[in-house]
Parts: sequence; structure tokens; C-alpha cells
Amino acid sequence: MRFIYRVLRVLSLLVPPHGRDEWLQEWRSEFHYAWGQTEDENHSALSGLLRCSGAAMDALKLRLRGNHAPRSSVLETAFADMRFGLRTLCKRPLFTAVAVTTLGLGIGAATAMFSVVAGVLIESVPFKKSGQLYNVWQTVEGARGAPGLVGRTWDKLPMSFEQYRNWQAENTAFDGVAVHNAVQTTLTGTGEADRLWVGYGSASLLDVLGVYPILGRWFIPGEEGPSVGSASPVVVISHDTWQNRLGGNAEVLGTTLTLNGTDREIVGVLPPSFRLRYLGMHWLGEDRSGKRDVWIPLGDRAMGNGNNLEAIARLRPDISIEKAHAEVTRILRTTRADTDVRLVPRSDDETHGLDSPLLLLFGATGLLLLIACGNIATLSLGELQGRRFEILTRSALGAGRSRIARQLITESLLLGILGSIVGALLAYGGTKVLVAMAPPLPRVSTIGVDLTVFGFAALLGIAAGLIFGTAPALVSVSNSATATMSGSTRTGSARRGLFEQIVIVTEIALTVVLLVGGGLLARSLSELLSVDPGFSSDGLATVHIALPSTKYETRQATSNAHIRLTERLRALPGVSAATAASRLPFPGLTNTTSRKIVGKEDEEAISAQQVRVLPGYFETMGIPLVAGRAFTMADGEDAAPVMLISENIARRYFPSESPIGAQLGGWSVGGITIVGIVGDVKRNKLGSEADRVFYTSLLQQTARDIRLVARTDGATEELLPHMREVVRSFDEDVPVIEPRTMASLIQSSASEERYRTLLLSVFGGLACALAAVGVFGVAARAVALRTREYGIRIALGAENRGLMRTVLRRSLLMGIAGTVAGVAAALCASRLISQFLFGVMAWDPSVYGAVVSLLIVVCLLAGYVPARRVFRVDPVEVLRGD
Amino acid sequence: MGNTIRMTYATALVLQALDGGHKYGFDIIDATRLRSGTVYPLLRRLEEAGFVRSKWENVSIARSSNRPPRKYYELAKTAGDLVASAKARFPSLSALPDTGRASTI
Repeated sequence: MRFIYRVLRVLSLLVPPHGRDEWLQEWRSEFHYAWGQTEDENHSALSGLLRCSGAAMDALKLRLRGNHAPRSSVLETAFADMRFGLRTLCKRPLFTAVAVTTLGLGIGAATAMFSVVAGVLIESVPFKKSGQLYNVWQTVEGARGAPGLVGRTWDKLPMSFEQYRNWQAENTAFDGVAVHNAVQTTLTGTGEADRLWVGYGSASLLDVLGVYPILGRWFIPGEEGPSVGSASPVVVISHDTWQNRLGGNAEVLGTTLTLNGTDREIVGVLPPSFRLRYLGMHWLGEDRSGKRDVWIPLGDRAMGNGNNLEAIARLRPDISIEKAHAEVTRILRTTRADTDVRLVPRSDDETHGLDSPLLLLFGATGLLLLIACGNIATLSLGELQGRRFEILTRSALGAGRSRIARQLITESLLLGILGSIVGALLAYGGTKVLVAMAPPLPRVSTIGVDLTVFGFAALLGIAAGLIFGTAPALVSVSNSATATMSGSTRTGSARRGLFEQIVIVTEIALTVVLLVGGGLLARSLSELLSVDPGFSSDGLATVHIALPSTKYETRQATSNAHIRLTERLRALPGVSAATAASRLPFPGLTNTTSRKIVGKEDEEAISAQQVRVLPGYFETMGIPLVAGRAFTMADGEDAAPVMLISENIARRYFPSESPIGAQLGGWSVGGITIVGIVGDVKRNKLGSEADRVFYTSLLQQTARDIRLVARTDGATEELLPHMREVVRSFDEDVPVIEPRTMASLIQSSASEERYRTLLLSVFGGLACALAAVGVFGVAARAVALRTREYGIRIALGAENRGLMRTVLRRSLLMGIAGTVAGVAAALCASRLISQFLFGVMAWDPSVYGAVVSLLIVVCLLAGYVPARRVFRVDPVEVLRGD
Repeated sequence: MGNTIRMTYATALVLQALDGGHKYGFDIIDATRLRSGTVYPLLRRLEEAGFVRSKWENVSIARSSNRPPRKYYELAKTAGDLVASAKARFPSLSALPDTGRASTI
């Protein structure tokens, strides 16, 4: 039997190698069976042999049919390749771990940023067929450049109620037209008094947007009033209000909600995702969230009079934008002859001002991903160097070039898939961090990692793996085939080395660009935060309150409440001063008024924001009195009306005379006398010009919606709960809104700048780490490849230190080349970033110097570690190996 | 690949044996009375053309029966037409007695 097996083994040599083992196994099995038969039937061994002679025929036929492997299905081959690829990757855990982590980092950062970009910019208008939605604005050329709200909204003037009703009656160009806006109102009757965002919208609003209430209904035209103050007392609530304030009870319809003293019947509940931003300039600040707690119908008293309705319309598919524009202009001019109309796609308005900073960050993650890909390329190349023998062996055994290429592609693909998985996991966590840290971006609450985002990660991973893993591998295979066959493992490494160096230099250059960007933004932020706002913010605590008009009807009652509240604040331990104002800086946008100087009616009117303050305001805030006097308690209701002006008004409108004693006309109370000048104050952005402000006395012109402010010598944060308590004990029906320290309000005004700076710096840091890994890898492989050369040189008397210097010089040269290229690239890109800079030039030498020095040090350190291996080269071992 | 199988009598016999549940080399040889040098190359050609699939027997089963593992062959789903055409071409096939010892595992 053993003899027969030997014969079979000899015969198997005829069989092509890839099927040889299987052939032998099958014939052994068959022979085993045949042998059993022949014994049973008492046949001779020879007859068994004859019966098995078919084996020779089989082997011969296989030989004659050539070297082709049996064809299996594409899928089977792919699976086999995958299994083999996984085994290969598992056998090289360090390479796999470094490659997958690197790729994962790049993909994770890009994907997380993509989810934010997708949420904020791509899905900017979350309504059906959003491409048909247009905002309709009026432009008033005369208001261009005016200070305050009017100047900022000259090309975004909303409609008046009358204009809307005319438009709705005559519209033919749009499938539907709708208007909306929002106010803040006090909610009572559900526990502690609270301040709500109240949207008011036309009955057509949800139809135009294509949204349906989840319970009940939206307003019907009959509930909309024909004039302001005549609407029905009904209300539609948000999903959030329904769940969190009213307990999510299904029988909520028909119950009442008390808003600002008026009982209203709840008629509907909106879907949870419904948000509608007011995109014009709102006097309560920019409406980033679009969150409304409740909605009331158009024509309600709360919405007030004036041009305050933002118009949204759905363009008919068969009507051109020009035709629609002509129609709206004609209709609106019947009520306002000097008006022009702008029709803007809703998505353009939604993303206005948000796209460039987000795209900057997204671009930065793109660079980071490129750096990661560079590392994959050099790593794969290095690994392939080690596997050259394996590949050539397979090639010699009959594997064609395409077969080997397919295997390498599969391995790169696997690497890409693993990188995608790690990247998707990182993106999942990273997106949460990005959202948590984000300034109030629109739709930020809806940003999450969904299938699209995971798809993006997978796409990035596979593309990166394929392009950057396979291409260098294939190049290397074709280049080095002859070299290895001829027995040398070093020929051809020059080209590979050059390729690696180019990749690493590019990586360093990209890192320079990112770090310079981060550095410039960081310097810009520190410049911004060091700007003097014109008052002393340390120790200031503020709280916003709204006295309900039903309880505080008269001016006297309101003023008394202000005075008593500030007196109680002053009595708190540690409080040195307390006051009140209609608006405080940050954010301090208010309505702008224009007043002419009495006696100079022919000259230009003074435009400024109007702020009403209690006596003691300037002392409490630390705003210097430049000339004249501040308000006193004597400037009461019955005294002559007085005002103070900010210094920039005095400079501009009273260049050669003192404004003190001058009178401004056009006030409801008649002329008002300027009694003092105070220092300029930045009210909205530290980076912008100080606003022009008229200060009047709250005792003479009162307001129910005010901010209390107290100065403490102790910890400002600790004062906030006490302030809340003072208001609550004064009157439970007065809602306490947003107790904040002034310092934190100023910080918030720079939250977008901080976000950009932080992210770009983090991306720069990651890029630096990846580039260091790249330099390290290339240096380590270079040392490993040249061990033999170093051994010989040491044997010939070379000094270790000299050799180490050679290795280090390589890393240093790559570092220098990379930083030079990077500085050039960063200078070219400086135009992109200059729009985000404040107080620092885009070519700031200190930032460039710091980045260049940092990268040179990093390159030297990354090169030093492998360079030390030169000391461990044993010349005896090397020579013996030869 | 492709249906480049020449329908000889031997091919038809092997197909019939496979259709009759004979699963491995010698079983088919015994059933068809063909020589092994004919059967094996035929099986390989049929497999290459996609009409026959093969798989190795579980090693533990073979070990428990104290013999080397066998390679099993069976008709693929695509082979239905081929078997039918074999029977149409050689009607006498169906008259042959089944002499196999199918599935004596």
C-alpha cells in the first residue's frame, strides 16, 4: 500500500502545483477504497494497481490542459482573498494597528465635521421641496449704513401686516405665501413664572412649509384677525412644551394656557422637529435655534405693529423668479412707494454667514485626512518591502501579476474598511463633542451620525485604502521584481526612498498650513478677548426680568418696582452697586432712533441706539463720565427730560462745540436736553466699532422688560442664585430669565471664534502627531534597510555618532523642505483665513516662526529615536550575515 | 467557462450516476463501469463548466470510519438541462440497472 502511495506521489508531480495536494488526497481516498475491494474479492495487488491506473490518465490530462487553476466564482475568490488578507494583517499587528488608527483618525475627524456641515449647511431647510421656498425682503436704500438695527436690516426689511394682507389677496405667482415672527411672553399658571418664545404665524404658514401638526390643527383663516389685536385667543404648542410643561397628556387639546395674563385655548401640537428661524435681524439678537415654545395666530396684539413679518413663499414651478419678483414689487409698492424687493432662496438666507467658517474647518479635516493617507502610503510601501520575497515566490509559483495585484488591492480594501469602522466610531463620539461645544448654530440639536454620515466614512475609508494603499504597492512590485530576482534587496530602493520623502515632505507642509491656521486664529482670539469693551466686566452679575403688564400697568408702579428691586440687590452681602437698564451690552442690539439737534434742523439727524437706564448705571458698569453729569433720582417723571450721549456722538456731531446743554427734538415729550457725555461702549461684538448710544432715564421713559445688574467684590457666580431669589421674593409672577455674569456674556459673544480656534488647533495638533509618525516610520525603515551598510562602515572605522548624524540629517532635511513648502502654501492660503482674523496679520511672523521651530524639533525627535539604533548595529553580525 | 461539454456516452453515464445519487469517485466508477481514467477527468471538466460541485467530507467522519476523507460530487442546479439532454440523446441509459452502492458512508 505504501508503494502505491509512492507511485501516486510521483504521478502527482504531473498535476499543476495549485491542485496537487487535493489531487493526491482524492486519489489516496479512492485507492484506499479500491484496495479494500480488491482484498475482499481476493484480487491481487496488481489488479488494484490497474484499477488505479486511471490516476495517471487523470494527472496527465490535468497537465495537458495547462496551468490554469480551476475557475471559481468571483465572489468565492474575493472571500478567499479577504480571508487571506485578514490573516496577513493579523500577522503584522503593529503595522495594522498603526495604519488603522491613522486612517481612523483622519476619517473620524472628516466624518464628524461632515455631519456638522451636512446638518447645518446641506439640510439647511428641513421642509419638503425646500428649493421652492423663497424669502421675500424689502430693501430701503436710504437706511443703508445707518447705525443699529435699521442699518443692519436695510436690505432685509420685513413686511407690515397691511402689506402681507394685500400680497396674499393679489398673489398669483406663488403656491402659497406666509409670514411669521416671534416675541417673548410670560407664561403663568404652570408653576413658576417663565419666559416663552412665542411665534406668530399666518394661517397659511404650515401649508407653505409642508408641515402637519401631530395633534389637533394649525390656525384657520377665521382665527387670523383682520387687524392687529383682533385674533382669536388660540394657541398651538410645540412638542417640547407639550411634553415638558404640560406632561405630554393626549387630552391637552381644548385646555387653556395663560400667556401674559390672557387665557388661550390649545388647538394643536407641532411635530418634535419643527423649527423655524427668523432670518431677519431680530431685536432680541440673532435667532439661531428657531425654537418656539408656542405659536399664536397672526393679528394677535402680542405681535405689535410695524414692519416685523418675515415673508416665506413657495414659488409655483411654472413661474419664473423674474415674473414673481415683478408681481411682489408691484403689490408691495402700493403701500410703500420707495420699496424694492429681494427674493432670496430660503437656503441661501439660512446658511448666510455660516458656510465659510464651517467649510474652513471641513477643509482642515480634509488636509488631516490627506496626511493620514500619506502615512498609509509610506507604511504600505515599507511593509511591501518586507514582503517582496513572499510576492516574488508567489509570482514564481505561477500567480499572475493581476492575481497578486488583486490580493494587494483586497488587503488595502480591508485596511480601508477597518479604518472606516474606527473612523465611524470616532466620528460617532466626535460629533457629540462637536455638537456639545458648538456655538448656537442653527439645527445643531438635530445633528447626529446617520446612515449618510456612515456612508461617507465608508466611502472615505475605501477610497483612501485603495488609492493610498494599492498604488505605491503596485509601483513597488513592478519596480522591484527584477531587483529581487537578481538577489539584491537594495537595488531600486532609491526610487522608493524618493517617493517616501516626497510624501513626508508633503505631510509636513500640510501640517504647517494647519498649525499656522490654528496659531493665527488663537492669536486673533486672544487679541479679541483683550479688547476693552468700554466698561469693567469683572464682578458684574446680570439678570433679565419682565414685569407683567397686567400687574404693572402704570409708569409709577413700574418705576417703583425697578427702584425697590435695585435697593434689595444692593442689600445683598458683597454687593457694592446695583442698577437696571432696558438693554445691557452683549448682546445689546436695540432699536435705532434718529433725532435732529434743535436749532440745526437743516443738518443731518443723529442716529443712535436708545438705552434707558436707572441713576447709578454708569458707576455700576464702570463706564467713565467724560463731561457733564450722570442721571440722578431728581431726573424723575416730572422733571425736565434729560439724556446722556456716548462720546462718539459728541465727536461726530459736535466736533467744535460742547454738546452739553444742546437739545434734541422729535421726542414724544418734546425737546430733550443733553446733560452729559459718557465713554464709548462695545455692545455686541468686541471686534466691531463701539455703537452710538443715547442714554435716557428709566424714571422718565420706563420699560417693563429690563436687565438688573449688580457689582460684587466676591465670587460673581455665587451672586446669581441670590439675585434670582431677590426677584422671586419680590414677585413670583415675574419671570427670571438667564442669570449670567457679564464676563460669561462677553465670552459667549466670541463663542464662534473660540470654536473655530479650538477645532483648528486640535486638527493642527493631530496633523503634527501624524506627521511625526510618518517621519519616524520612514527614518526607522531607512535605518533598517541600511543596517548592512552601517555595519560595514563601522567595521571600516566609521564612528557611530557620524552615522547617526547622517540619519538625523535626512529627517532634518525632510523637515526643512516640508516647512519651506508649508510656509509657501500657508502664505498662499492666508487669503482664505484673513476674513476670520482680528488684530493680527495673516502673515504674522511670530506664528510662522513658532510653527516652523515646532515642526523642525518634532522632525528631529521623530528621527532621533530610530537613529539611535545605529548604536546597536553589530558589524560582526552584519559581516557574518554576508 | 461555458457549456462546452461534449455529450459522449461516458459523459451521459457519469451524469446519470450523479443524478442517481452516486457521490464520489469510485462509487461512480462502479455504477458506470467506466475506467477511473475516464471518470475523474470527466468530473473535473463538468465541475469546471459549473454543472457539478464538489466538497470535501468532514475529516472527523472519515477518521471515525478509519479512512481518508472523500471528495463528494453532486450535480449543480444548472445541470438539469444537461441531464435531460443526455437522456434524450441516449434513451438506453434509463434501461441500465443501478449497480451502485450509493452513499455507503
